[in-house]
Amino acid sequence: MASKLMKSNILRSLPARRFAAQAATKSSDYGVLPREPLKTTTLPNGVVVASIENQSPLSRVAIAVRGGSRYETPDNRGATHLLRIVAGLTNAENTAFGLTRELQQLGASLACSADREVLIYSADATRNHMDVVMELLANAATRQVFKPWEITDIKPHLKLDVETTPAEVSLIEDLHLAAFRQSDLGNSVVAPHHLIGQLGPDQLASHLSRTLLAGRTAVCGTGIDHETLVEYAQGLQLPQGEGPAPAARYGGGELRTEIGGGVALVAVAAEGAGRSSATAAQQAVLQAVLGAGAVVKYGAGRGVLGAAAAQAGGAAAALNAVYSDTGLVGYTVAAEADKAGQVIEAVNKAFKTTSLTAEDVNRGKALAKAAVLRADDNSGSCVETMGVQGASLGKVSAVSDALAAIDAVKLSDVQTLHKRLVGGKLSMAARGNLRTVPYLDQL
Amino acid sequence: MGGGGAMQWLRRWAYNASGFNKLGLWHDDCLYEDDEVKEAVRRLPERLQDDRTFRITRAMQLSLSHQILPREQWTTFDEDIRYLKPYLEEVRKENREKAEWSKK
Repeated sequence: MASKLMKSNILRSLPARRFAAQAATKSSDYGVLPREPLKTTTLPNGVVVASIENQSPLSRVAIAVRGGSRYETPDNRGATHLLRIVAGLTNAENTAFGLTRELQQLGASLACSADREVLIYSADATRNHMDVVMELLANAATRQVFKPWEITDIKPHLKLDVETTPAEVSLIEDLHLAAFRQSDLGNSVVAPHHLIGQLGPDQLASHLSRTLLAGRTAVCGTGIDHETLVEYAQGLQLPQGEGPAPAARYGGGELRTEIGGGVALVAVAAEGAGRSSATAAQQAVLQAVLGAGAVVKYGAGRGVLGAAAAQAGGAAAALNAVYSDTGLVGYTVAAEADKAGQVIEAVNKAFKTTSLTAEDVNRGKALAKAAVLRADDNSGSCVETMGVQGASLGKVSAVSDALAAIDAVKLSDVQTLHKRLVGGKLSMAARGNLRTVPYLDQL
Repeated sequence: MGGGGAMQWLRRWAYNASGFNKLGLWHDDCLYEDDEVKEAVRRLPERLQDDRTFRITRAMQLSLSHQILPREQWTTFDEDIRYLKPYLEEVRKENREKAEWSKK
């Protein structure tokens, strides 16, 4: 593919050498842009607007709606998955073809992502084209019309997506189903296979009419000044209304899916705190201490759980899924089928009985702060974070607040949290070759 | 459309004179199926497609047996709805847009 070719060292060095002399003399087209910190406004109709002027050459704007899969009803299950797929199709102002060509002509991109809580439509482009692109984004996000034939034509994409869902994703979906049972947070972000046939324009429209409301929407941007974004958000035509409230009930349970193969994937979790809770920062630190995945390719996992798993011959990482009202904190384990039992025993023992020291907590705090800053550094994930906060909580906090909250975490807090988690009711999901994997009551 | 009583009378007369209504067909059933019409028919809701198929099949059967329907079953000028028109216009608009873009 062309993109692979461009990564080869030989070809890259030639243009770099030729233009190096010119780089120093080229002046900026935009003069000196003022840098603005995070600014937020809540409009009278309820829309939350947040922007950061970070002097980036690209502007990014996102429209985030509190309408993820947890707000699906039993009649329109899978609607958010299909909405992600049909994001660029014909809307009230543009045809699918016209929208695609317009975006290509401007060098812009439009994407739709959804998780359990929020549905985010985002677009990015160079600054000089951003006004046109924001119009296209508004049309795609708020003025959908679902043409039945376009939905039918794109159904094979949905089938492909569902059938090629990676095992790791299915594992986490199973964990949520086991923990929160068959509604609200138990709803998977992947459309259920048996309901693909009945998904159509009616289901999509019904989901949007329930959730695409002004009070549940956030408009966020980086590389854009606040007044422009506020004006843009005021121009969006969004109906008023409350929409469905979060109603997750943690139940606990286990879900095992035997599909054979050479690997067993297991996830275990207890109920955690929500995004706006006082213990959210402590959870982040605990996750970092327990080990939030390897940073080095083929390296052994980090943290307490990672070390325990590596010794037993597998891999483990801590899990911290946070939603507006509740969450899941636990671990995921991957191991060869024969060793899975030992690995899970070792990781579970480490999870339950590890005693946390001040050094652990300091390390965890440093890692958690680094993760927050790394996410903020990348304008894509920065906009996504702002959108998720704005849509699900109704307010966006600055990174400095998050860092201060992490700094305020004490050893005793984390120890209390850890004790409470391991004493609570656990949920478990397992997928793969499960012949040595213990059941939840054996852990 | 059809300004004035005289124009309307002329349209009715022309409709009845053209004879496809005697086979139970509607105006849009008789369109020559070029690519645009084919695409518009593909986009019809299932019920309209089925009705169209039934009417065309019935007309073909009548035609091969050299018959026409009894007078009370002839399509009247008023019940003949141009069901394909919105879909056809949309297809034509999309094709024009594609042609515009390919000129650039």
